[in-house]
Amino acid sequence: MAPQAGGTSIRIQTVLYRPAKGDIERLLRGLQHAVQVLHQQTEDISVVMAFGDASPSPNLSIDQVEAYSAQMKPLGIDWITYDNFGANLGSARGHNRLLTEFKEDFVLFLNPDVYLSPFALTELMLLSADASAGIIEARQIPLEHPKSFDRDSGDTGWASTAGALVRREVIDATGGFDADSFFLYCDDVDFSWRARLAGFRVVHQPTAQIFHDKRLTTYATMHVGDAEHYYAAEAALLLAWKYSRPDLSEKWAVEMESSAMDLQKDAAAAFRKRQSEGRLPVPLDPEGKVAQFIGTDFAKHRFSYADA
Amino acid sequence: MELVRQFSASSGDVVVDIGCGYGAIAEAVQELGLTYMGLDMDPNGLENLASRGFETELIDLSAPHDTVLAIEKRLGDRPMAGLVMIDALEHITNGPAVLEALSALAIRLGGVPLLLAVPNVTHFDLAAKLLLGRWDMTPTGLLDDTHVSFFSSSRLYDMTSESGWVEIGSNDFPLRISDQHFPADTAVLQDGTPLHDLMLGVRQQAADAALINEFVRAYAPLSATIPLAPDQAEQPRRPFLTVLMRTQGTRPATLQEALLSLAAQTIQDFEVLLLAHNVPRDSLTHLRYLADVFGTDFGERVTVIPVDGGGRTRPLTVGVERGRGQYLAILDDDDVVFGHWIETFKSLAKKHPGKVLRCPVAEQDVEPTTWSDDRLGYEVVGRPRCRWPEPFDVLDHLWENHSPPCGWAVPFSVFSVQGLRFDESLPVLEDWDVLMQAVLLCGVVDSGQITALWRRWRIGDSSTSVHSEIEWTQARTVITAKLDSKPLLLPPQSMSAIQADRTRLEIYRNEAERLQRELTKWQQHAVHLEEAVAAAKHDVEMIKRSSSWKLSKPIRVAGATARHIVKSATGEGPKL
Repeated sequence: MAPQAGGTSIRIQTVLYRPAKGDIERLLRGLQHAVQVLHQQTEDISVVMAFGDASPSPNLSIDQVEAYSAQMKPLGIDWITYDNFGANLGSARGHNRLLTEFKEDFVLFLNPDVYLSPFALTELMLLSADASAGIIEARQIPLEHPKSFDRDSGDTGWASTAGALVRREVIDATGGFDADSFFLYCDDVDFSWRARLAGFRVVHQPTAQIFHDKRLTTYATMHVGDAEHYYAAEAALLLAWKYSRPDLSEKWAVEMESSAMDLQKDAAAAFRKRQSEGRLPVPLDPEGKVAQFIGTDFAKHRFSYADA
Repeated sequence: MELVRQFSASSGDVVVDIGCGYGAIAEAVQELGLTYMGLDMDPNGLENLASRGFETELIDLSAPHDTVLAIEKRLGDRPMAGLVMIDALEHITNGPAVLEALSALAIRLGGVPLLLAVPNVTHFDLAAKLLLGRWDMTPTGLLDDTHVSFFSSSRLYDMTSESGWVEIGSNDFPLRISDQHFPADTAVLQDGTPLHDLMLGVRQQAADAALINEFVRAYAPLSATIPLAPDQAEQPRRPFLTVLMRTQGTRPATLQEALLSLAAQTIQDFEVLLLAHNVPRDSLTHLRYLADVFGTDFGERVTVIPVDGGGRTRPLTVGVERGRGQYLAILDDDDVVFGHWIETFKSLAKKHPGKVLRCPVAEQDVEPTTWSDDRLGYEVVGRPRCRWPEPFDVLDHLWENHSPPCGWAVPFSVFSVQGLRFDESLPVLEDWDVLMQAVLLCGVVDSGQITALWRRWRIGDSSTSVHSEIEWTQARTVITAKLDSKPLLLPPQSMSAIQADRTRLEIYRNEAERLQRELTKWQQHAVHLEEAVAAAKHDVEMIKRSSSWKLSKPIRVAGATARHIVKSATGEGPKL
């Protein structure tokens, strides 16, 4: 379906993978209020929603999708689509799959475990008036991302696509996510850096809040599961390689190989395998114009969740 | 008689004493210039009254309308001053019907008052004895063996209200030691014993009339019935949790986020009382909007309540009066909760009903800021930290509070049934006060999961910066005194915990004493050394001045060295 002629159109995309009970309903609940406020504040705007499901079995039936569509239409979301991938594509490939139908002016990437503030969409769209702002990142609560950002301009090194608005030109310029390199983590870091290499700014909008249902351990550190450990480690190696820091990817790979954690050893082994098969990404940004490697972070951080 | 005097009309008017027995008040009524009329079903009492010159009428209260007709007939055209029922209502089983008939009569007669006196079956002595499994009926008194109906203050209220009467005065009869105060040497009845003081404290906090022997109340007739008391009326379904959120409207950014974190909860079984403290009226509309913008379902569960005056505890008092939940929690407008805050509380409540529910809270530093478009906001400037120990420890909490308010929920019955209230005299630490009183009554259960973030303002206004050190100290003193004023119910394992603390204390004390002894030795040694240094300096000085001293110096030095060696060897100096 084509976006409305003349107005601004937004596509909202969410990739599902075994969502927690109630996540989809909560996401839609938050979305409907955010869209309503956006419609109140902005004339001639259309919003559509696309789910992609990478779970082992479908989380929505056709009837449910139709019911959600019917429920959301009067609330300002023109239609909802649901694409059951039938396989775990990962977030990057899942979003890319959904982006093949992208015809709107903006795409809002959202994680399934978020709940938008009623003002979030409106606040994100405020910054979209500046065409140089290619990616506009929402503020996550209760656990705010520790990346630093310029308090005046909002400029930041990269944007988390747990909640980020992206203008069409960025997708056109980058081709979306690098799904061949990144399965689950750092896909957004890479996407942000390529957007910046293409001349766009990545900005953080602190007044656009989304509730991201992350939780703390009893030690006040972030919950990190096995899959997160593995894919974060693998992605870090690939990211360093892709952004012309083979020294770092080699150093980290060696460290992981001697780690006590099997998951880290596995990640290093996967990297070595790619290396031996010549499947590593083509290095970019040789002069380090956009990429930042500060310790194991990819931007300057204000604080760390790791050593709480 | 005080109430009769207060509510009686003109001289000569008739006072109708229903269930008068031998007419104990007849002469006193007469002395007030009123006409006494005694009504009873016992002819012996009436004969006695008649022999004293008073008007009487034989009645049967099992037929209320016949009774009323008999009164009207006997009264004739004379004006009635009032109806009196002293120690009568507890002897009949059709109290409501009698009261209704009397109300209709009172209205017909121009609204004459009714004076009621009934024994209080909720007197502490009876409550204490029930704990011992005792229910001692006696020929007279609180448990007169002819009583067939028993009254608490609320039952009396309900019965009279539903029967067409409204209370207009009271002069209840207090009696600390009732006729049921036996066996008097039992600990729970003996004033000053821990058990008595504890139970009396619980009873007095829960409801009034703990030491009232007889309710003595005056009523006026009403043509309409009064609605039932709140706890008796049919209630709509109660939400699991009432969330009290205090706001002064000065932190719009964090308030929005606090509401956002509630709207995003995995379980929505709660209501929010948004307590707008000293917020200008024209700002209330905006607060309402901030709730409604989350949609009808959420907005309907948020009540914006303006609260004017008082300290920071005042809104909590108002919230307790208005809350409908099964549990009560506090979430201030700069706190934020994780998605499972309600879910965790509810899960705990299901497993451990009636206990205080507690989750550890992480602390995070924030600073106020102004964003590029001049809007007020805040910035997170530090990682979340676990500042407060887990699990909950009562003894630690008696020392100081380790549980920020967003980390616990208390059963609402602690307030609605047991009478606990936030102490408005406390400028700070009001949450600690209520938490400790609730925990000591209900016990506590831990979740072990961090479910909330408590924000610490590194700069800008907060309770730490707004209130002086003196206020904090005074509040602590008040809370300590309150807990000191009554016996404390400590949970199981407290004995071991106290013993362990005492053992540690003994170890530290012994170590401190040992270190003190060591210090003393070193101080003494230092004195000796100072003396030696002074002597040596003196020697040097003398040597400089005298040639003979120069010649004898080696001998003196050898002597001094030898003395030090001897002191060290004999233990006069400290061992290293």
